[in-house]
Amino acid sequence: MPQWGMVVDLDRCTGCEACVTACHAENNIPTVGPEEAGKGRAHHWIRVERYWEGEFPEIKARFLPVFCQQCDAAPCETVCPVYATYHSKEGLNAQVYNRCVGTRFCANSCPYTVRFFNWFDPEWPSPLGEQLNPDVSVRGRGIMEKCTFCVQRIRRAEDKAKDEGRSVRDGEANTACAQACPAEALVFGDLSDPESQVSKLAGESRGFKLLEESGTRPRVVYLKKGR
Amino acid sequence: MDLATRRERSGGFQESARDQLSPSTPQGLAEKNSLPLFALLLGLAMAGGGAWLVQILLGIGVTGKNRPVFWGGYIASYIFWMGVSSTGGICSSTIRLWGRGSWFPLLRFAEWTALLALCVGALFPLVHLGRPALFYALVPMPNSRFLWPNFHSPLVWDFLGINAYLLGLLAQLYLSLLPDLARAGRGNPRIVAKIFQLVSLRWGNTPEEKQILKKAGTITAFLMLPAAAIPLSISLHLVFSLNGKQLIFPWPLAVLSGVQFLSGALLSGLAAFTLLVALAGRLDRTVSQSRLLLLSRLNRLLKDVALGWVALTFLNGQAGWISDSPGKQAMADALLSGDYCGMFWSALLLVVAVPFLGSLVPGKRGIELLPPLSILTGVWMDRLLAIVIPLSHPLLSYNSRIYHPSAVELFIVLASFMLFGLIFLVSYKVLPGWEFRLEANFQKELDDASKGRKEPIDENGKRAGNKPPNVLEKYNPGLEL
Repeated sequence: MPQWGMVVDLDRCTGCEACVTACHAENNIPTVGPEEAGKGRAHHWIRVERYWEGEFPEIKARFLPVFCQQCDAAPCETVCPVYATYHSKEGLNAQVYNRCVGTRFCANSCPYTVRFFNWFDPEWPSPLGEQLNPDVSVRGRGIMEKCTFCVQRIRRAEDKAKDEGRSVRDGEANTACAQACPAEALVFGDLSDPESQVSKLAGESRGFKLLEESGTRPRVVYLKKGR
Repeated sequence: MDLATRRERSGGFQESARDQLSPSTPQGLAEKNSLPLFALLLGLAMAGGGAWLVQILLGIGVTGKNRPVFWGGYIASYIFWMGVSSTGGICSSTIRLWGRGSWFPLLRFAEWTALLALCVGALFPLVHLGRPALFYALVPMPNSRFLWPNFHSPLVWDFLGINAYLLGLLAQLYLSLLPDLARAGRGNPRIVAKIFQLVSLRWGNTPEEKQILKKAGTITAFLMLPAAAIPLSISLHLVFSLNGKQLIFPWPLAVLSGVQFLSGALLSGLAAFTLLVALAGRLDRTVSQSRLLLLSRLNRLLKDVALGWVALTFLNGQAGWISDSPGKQAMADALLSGDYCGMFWSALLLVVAVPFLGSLVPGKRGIELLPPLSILTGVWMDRLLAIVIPLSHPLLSYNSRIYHPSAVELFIVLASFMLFGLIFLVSYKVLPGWEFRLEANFQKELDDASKGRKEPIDENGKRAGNKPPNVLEKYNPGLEL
């Protein structure tokens, strides 16, 4: 069974946020407007955090794309009172929208702050509603959501592979963010396949995991930025 | 039901030594008209319900919550009311098991505070839910999808613990109400008397029945104290106080935050008792030695616990200063001098300064309500700070954000206090058994209190001269009868 994971090469990331836009388009993520965004309620399943280092003129910007780390020991899964979030056999942290009652305990427990709550019903001013992805459900108010590693694309690739009587090839299932990244900083694939690109990159000496000391065992490997 | 009728039905007035010891009791004075207060409380509680309806229709976005502060005023209120309730349970069980005579009048108030606070507080998880119509998913019951709640989740522990506690509380309260329900049936039309007879299990007030009831009360108190009240109090408060902090503080300091949290629960519970005892006095417009003595003792205890709470709060706030992490220090900064310092210092002033200042103007009309009200407000703010400060400072500092409660949120919280007051008012007016019953050794308490006075005190509690004995001078100088 494939074990999905991702590698983020911080040396390649330019902070262009094409991944953010692609994620919005693929996963029917609504825009909330400037007022709500100002209150901190914007939905960005993947976000690019900017950290500034040094003083002018030796100032440097560090870009850190952060999204659900699909932790093997996810604290969000333990605390959900209704099992709306669980760990799938393929290593994904799955979110069941129908089951969610909106206690938001999972969001509190997530050390990466990658969970988002639908504070109001989503709106798509016409004609933006025409571009919704039919493969992904639209979440109503009161429901938690987060990055799913584009599970709909994974399922589509797995279904196609099953029909053809083979396993999913490396690169066949790809997330929207990885597909859109112009610098190829995001690489998605099967970590259990040693020949996959993601496995080879994950084994590099530059690799580290975000907040590894918190014990969450995330599935996303970051490659350190060079000097 | 007016005061005279209630006294007659309950029989408590005849049994207590109050009429011997309180010659200043204005026995002929009618009860204060509580209809305006009832209307105000009902109106505000219903308005709070309307605000909740608005929230259900529009979404949780009408509150001030954001990312990363997903919890705010509702969970703070939930913990606040659970703290009041658990203190009520602990106090009532303690009084039953080891209480002295002068503390016994607090028993009924403690039991009812525990129950009412639990009922009001249990509404808040429902208010807090993003999809409250699906609350039944939290209830462990068989269903066609073979889905059960997640018993690993602390929220489910709370749900089960609170329900167990509620059952124990109802059993304890029902047992203590049996004699009062039997007496309340007297003098009523036959059908009503029959109903009271059935509800009171045909209580006959025989010595054997009294002995059995006393044993049953002791057993329930023994069961409530270690099995429900204390574990609920500790588990609930430790779980919520550790929310996020276990990743930030080293473990001894994280435990300190739990202890501070528990002390706040004790303080809020005592303040609730004090408020209800004082309110009852104002509703009845009676002056009772036992009630004043109880109020005086509660006020003293409140001040002592408040000082302890302040010390623990400062220690807790300073915990971040001794750390070497910028994130930990940011939390301490936010509390003491940053974005949340206004709420923090206001809470301190409300808990400590206002009650102490209030004692400088004794005898003012309504002044006895000020200390408990200000303490309750201060402790609620402390609960809110304990929830939002760790959430405002996530481990990835890029996502830090400040929380401001919205008007809808604050109104619903205020409505919960109105609802608490409303239910207490109705139960005080309707249910029997509120009169203070004194144990035989209360006379000894009075004798101890009067030591050192020059005027002799006779068997009716009167001193030589016209002035009635003021046994409370020793406890609360300047309190006017």
